Amino acid sequence: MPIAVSQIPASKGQVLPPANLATLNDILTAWQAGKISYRQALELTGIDNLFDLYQAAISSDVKIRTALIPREQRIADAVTAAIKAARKNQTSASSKK
Amino acid sequence: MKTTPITLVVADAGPLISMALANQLKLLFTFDKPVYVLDVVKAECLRKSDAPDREILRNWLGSNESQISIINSPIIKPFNDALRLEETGEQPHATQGLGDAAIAWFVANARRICAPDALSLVLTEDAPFGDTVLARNVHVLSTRPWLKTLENFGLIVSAQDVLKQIELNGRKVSRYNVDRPAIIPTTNPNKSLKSDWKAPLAKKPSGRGGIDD
Repeated sequence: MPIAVSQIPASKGQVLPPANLATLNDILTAWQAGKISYRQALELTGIDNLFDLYQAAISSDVKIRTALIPREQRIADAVTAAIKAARKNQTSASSKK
Repeated sequence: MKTTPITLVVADAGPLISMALANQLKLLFTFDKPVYVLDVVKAECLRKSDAPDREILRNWLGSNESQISIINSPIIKPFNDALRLEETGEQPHATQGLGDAAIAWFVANARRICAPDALSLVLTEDAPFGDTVLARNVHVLSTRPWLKTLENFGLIVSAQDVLKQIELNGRKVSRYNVDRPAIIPTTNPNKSLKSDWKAPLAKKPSGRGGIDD
């Protein structure tokens, strides 16, 4: 007679994710919807790199999002502005020489 | 919400061998329902007399007959014939491709073989097969995310520990990660549903205390 799985206790202090983030498909869907970060997705899925995470999404029929979500857009805008400012400073510094 | 009963089908020998090596074959009874195993998969598991998992699997298959349904496929005859050719050394790779043929046959006949209202959850470790061949009428799941989900439901302590145990016994579980829902048609031709296999797990008493979405 097999041991029922329910007889295996969760370890003390084991932190479990919410049920809507328990399966690979749920986690990948939430990641691509921008609800969780890729780092959280890696942790929750036990997958150890971003390439495999994308591969899992493709295999699991989770649509890969190409448009940026507002949070990513804000970061992209901030980084773009910082790079532009740095280039401008570099250009003016070299023209003074 | 209407839920669809799940039938777990082990479609390639990989998950059975992995669980045998980790001494975790009991996890296959997670859904408290009979587990379906293709006859070709059973034959594949029991073929190598020197494999460490062979006796474990033989005992498991023998002592859980009420909970394991062997699916008889027309592929078993050519498989056994090919096995003999391999054993005599006449054709060293004679069985190649026959396991895949058995799965293809199962997928085409899934509704007839399993309960007609049940959704087949196909457990596999075979990436090319899972990604390209398995049809959309079955939910495809590979060993790694299955174990991780059991961990996420508090039903096992650590998926990583199970994977390490398998590795310690000489087998590396494929890195294949898939959890691809089946497409379930509805009465509305423009609308379909996706399968979700976690509901039976959520009903179990575990560290998480049930489903909350």
